[in-house]
Amino acid sequence: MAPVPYRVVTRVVDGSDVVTIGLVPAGADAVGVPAPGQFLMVWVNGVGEIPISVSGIGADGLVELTVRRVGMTSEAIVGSEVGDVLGARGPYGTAWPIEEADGRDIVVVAGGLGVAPLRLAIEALVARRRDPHRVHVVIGARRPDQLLYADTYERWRAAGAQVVTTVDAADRDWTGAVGTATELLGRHDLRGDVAFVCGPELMMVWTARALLRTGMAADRIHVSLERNMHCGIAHCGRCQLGPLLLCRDGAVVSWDRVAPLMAVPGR
Amino acid sequence: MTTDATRDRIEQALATHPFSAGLAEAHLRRLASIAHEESYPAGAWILRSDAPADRFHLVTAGRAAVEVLAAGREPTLIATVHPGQVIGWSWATPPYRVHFDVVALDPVATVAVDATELRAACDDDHELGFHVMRRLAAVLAARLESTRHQLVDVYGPAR
Repeated sequence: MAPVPYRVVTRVVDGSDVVTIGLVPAGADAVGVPAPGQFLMVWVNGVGEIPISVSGIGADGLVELTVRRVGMTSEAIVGSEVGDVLGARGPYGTAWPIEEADGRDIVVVAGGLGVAPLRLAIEALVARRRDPHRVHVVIGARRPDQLLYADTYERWRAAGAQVVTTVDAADRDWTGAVGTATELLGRHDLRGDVAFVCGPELMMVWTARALLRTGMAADRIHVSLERNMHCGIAHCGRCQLGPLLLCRDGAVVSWDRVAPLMAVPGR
Repeated sequence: MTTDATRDRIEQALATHPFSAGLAEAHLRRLASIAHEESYPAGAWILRSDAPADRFHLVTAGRAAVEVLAAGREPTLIATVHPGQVIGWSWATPPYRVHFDVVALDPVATVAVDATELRAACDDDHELGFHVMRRLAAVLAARLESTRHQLVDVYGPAR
């Protein structure tokens, strides 16, 4: 339960309020290797501790975290510099069921910062893809300059994924779509058998419903839900959603389990 | 002058375009008889706001942007339209004038159906009219849903 010290070794600014930091163990101890979709509890001395999905892993125990400035602790993490030491414990929660896409077409829908918890999954899906099965990636954002990891899309395309982008607003120079991810899902060339969805909760609800309209089964749609994760080990109950404790039963949950819960206002 | 080859190509395009695919053969032939092919270079206007809504475009290639233009401000791009989608619904409701400007972002190709003839065809053959209007209603519903989703600004700052 005690955080393991990690040192910041890289810091990449991605837009005005988003930063991706790379961390390696500062000593002999390290957290386990996170599976795509799992999260770490990241601790800032004297400030607080928050859950952050792992957006990348690398050699020497490197973990990457993509963080938006929304509160005191995230602000402190965004403001950390190379050489600073943070604490980490985990990894916690469920992972994206990558193997479920084997032998099937998959649609990955990511909105806003939701690309971060999906980045490792997309990398794994692209690496495992075998013809004729397809990997479709639909990425939405408010504006073109807020698309995360935009420099990796071409590599995913080169590896055989179809990557399409859509934003809420743009000018004529923009080469993607203007509109919503749900609109794109109506296209026949973006149909799949399995879906991974992550983004703002309303966007996930609308996306899941749009996927159901295409004939996808509810138990094949997987979403990543967040609540106020605190202990990370299903003891404190802060992240309760109906019968689920999302730090243990999530963050990745299939839609058939959560659809009735998402229809209750205020949950 | 429309040649047989052009007519065949238009019928084929209508048979495969998501808006008209699945219509009865007779209905496809009727639509093809009042349609022609159009192409627009990048930057050309496809529709201008408040102009007569005299065409219904089924996009077969290229991207177009639906925009709002006003003096003294930059154009506001509301949505993009892609192959397999349609441009223009103002032709279906009085006073049959275009609501928004639409500009070609790439070279755009469409099958353009004559709107006056299409309204007459829908009046003459209510079964054709029912299918066209049902499909148009689905387009409008999707655009309304999308617009409402964008209004919520889910990617914006938490409120």
